[in-house]
Amino acid sequence: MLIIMLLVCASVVLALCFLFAFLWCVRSGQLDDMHTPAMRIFSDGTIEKNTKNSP
Amino acid sequence: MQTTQENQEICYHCGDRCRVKDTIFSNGKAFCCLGCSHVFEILSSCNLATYYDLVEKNAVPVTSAFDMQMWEGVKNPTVAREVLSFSDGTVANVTFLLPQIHCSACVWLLENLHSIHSAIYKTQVHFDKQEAYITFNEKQLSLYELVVLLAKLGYPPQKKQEQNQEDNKEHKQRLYMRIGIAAFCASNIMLLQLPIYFDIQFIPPVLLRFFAIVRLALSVLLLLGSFQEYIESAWQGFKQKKLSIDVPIVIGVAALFLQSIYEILGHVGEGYLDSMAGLIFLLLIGRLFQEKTYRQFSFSREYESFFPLSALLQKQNGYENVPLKDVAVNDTLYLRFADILTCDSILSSNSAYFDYSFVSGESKAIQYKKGDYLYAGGKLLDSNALVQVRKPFSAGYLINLWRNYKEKESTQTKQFSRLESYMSAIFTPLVLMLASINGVYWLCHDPSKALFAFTSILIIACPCAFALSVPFTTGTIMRILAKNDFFIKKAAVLEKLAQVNHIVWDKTGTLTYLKASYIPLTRELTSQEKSMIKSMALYSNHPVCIALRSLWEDSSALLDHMEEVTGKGVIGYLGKTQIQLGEASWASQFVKVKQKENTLNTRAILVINEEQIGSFILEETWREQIDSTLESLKEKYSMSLLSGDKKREEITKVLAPIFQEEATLFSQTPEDKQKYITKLNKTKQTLMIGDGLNDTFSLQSSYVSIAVSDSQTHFTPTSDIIVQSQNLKKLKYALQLAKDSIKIIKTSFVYALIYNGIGMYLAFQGWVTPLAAALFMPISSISIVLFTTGSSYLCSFFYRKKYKC
Repeated sequence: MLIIMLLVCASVVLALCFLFAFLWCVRSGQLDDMHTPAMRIFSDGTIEKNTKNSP
Repeated sequence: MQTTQENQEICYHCGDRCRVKDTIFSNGKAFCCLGCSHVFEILSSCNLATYYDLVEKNAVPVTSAFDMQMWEGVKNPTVAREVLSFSDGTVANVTFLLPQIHCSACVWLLENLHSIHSAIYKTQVHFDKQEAYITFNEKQLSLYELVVLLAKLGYPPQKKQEQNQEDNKEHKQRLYMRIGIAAFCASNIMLLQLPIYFDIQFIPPVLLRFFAIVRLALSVLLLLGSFQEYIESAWQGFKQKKLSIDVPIVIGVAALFLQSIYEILGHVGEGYLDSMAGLIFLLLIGRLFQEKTYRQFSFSREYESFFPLSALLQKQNGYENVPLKDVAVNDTLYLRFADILTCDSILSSNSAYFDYSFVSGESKAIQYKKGDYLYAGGKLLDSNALVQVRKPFSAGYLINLWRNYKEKESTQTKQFSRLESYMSAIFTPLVLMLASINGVYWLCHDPSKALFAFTSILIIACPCAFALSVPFTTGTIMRILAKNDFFIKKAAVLEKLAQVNHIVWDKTGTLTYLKASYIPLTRELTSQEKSMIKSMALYSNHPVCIALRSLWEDSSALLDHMEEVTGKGVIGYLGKTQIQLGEASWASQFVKVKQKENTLNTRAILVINEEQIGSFILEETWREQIDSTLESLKEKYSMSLLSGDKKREEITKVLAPIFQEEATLFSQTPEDKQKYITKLNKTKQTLMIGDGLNDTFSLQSSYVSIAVSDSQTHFTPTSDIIVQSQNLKKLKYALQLAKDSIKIIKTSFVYALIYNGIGMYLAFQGWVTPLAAALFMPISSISIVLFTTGSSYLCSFFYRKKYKC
């Protein structure tokens, strides 16, 4: 039964890491704006492509 | 309509058709005007031509009718300081409100500003708020130049309100964090409790003990991380002797927790931590549900947003822009067309027309002569005027009224939902009493069951039904109303709306709007002329032109050339036709002006090819369907009307069937309106509907207030609810839904009572096993959520059909 206890502890610790990551993410303001990042998919990569293709 | 139509090009930038004469060709593409070709050149020279691949609809056409006057003041460094959010002399940050942001191409373009001008370091756009946060080098690019650049690209900035944004952000972040912790703890506790629901005999006791300890640890984390707010609120309520819904929640959670500790540490059982964690999680989700904010409407506007950034003083050696607070008594202010008078002053020019719609709500040009006393808030309708300041900026009377109001607001304590407080006032003592009775009873009969008998009552008598029904019902109904363009500020407002029994209407701007109509002198207009006039109306921002835009259905023609003389008139040319539209005094330089009667309503003379054809008048017109809206409301609500206008025969005639004689008051000043409402409040729950700055004071003193808005960028006074003007006819629907929300909440309370009653009966009998008690609560919570949300949607469907919304 020791192994189950060890496994449970390990998973709880792992889950705690995810929790801390989430809290850090909220704190640093990543969730303040849910809408605009979706519109930023047009990154600089597209611009370079364009200059190569335009006459 | 035009023979050259087939040859007309489409502008590559904005998509409008190009005038034949003025089409500009560049890089093999056609543009309708210098502005659009200029933007294209900027974009292609910075390798940003991808913009045209991204933009969904056409780009914002670059119009020249942009009021730069508002931003002239930032040429003065002191004024600029106040607008910037940060500056160290070189690097500066500023946040602009850009209402023209409408698609992802706008976001992309603005965030690539650094490619357009090297002095800009970074731009970050917040789409929902329509704001851009720009970091730039102040030495290389002044704030004014930045504003001009943005305007050239099609995004003229407006002043941004700062106040409530910061606390809102903190608050939201805290809620998200609490939900995160609650979700983590609840899911893990539930997982670790799951084995208990199966055959417990086959699980080694050591494992059971281990799971129990981990659950306890998680529960402690949960209580510390997510629950403090409730504990604090319950404690506050307890100290103030006000039993809010948080008190029974805290008692219930405490009972669960303490009972579980006792069971686990005393080896008596497995505890109820999963029910507790699930409850806390659901409560927080309910709170999230309720706190949705709606974009594009800022609900609170300070008076500063109505006034310009600075004032232009006339000095010995010229003009100087100074911050408003530096304006002193006896300074001479130079006002230009559409400037707002910021301080009480005396008119120095010979005469000037001012529009006091900000103050009285009536959009009429009032003529003042030299020496007349002018109150702050008037908008100048002449091309310029000089005034001498009598009272410094902070002493204007509008601001005094505003300040008096603000003080009252801060002393009002936070309002709990009435229903909730009512329920919790009887709930808590009742449950505690029942629990004690049960405990004592079992103490006498079977002491081993006594403690559990006591706590099981507390556990089963779940306040969760009461705690959850309000947020989920109000959250759903608010969302439904928001889809109908009826924006409610806070959930508590919905409950107040249901209690309203008297409606006070403002007349101008709410029940009526300014409508233009054409009065022919010699003849009617041809379709082509109407199209030309429509273009001219779109071009200028004069109040007459704004009203003219919606006069005809015809599409606007493309004129060869247009000119505006600010405040006076507009001239348009197309082919052989020349149209002049403007004030009588200005038009008389082209033509001998004949006016039928000297009515106050005549606003613009129409001259075509040097002949006066007719004139336009602006009249107050009733909004469409307002009579049916008022009729339907009359049945259930008493109503009254307040107006700043003088009493007129034609108005009282129309109002007679709906309003009673003594309930219609005219010639009301803002203070009169406020006094009337305060008096009404003693006997009735008033709903005030209005618009305009003057209504703000009465809007805030009524029980509930609605502000009618015509556009999103137009200023919005502080009110509980905002409605788009065309949706005013949905008022009955909204009021009905508000009433329904109360019914739904009451029904769910009854359901909760029955549910709890049955559970408690079972508990009294001693038939409740710990397992059953544990299941009781989540079932009750989830069923309440489903019931309230489902009924809200059902009601909205039903009434939508009934009122044909």
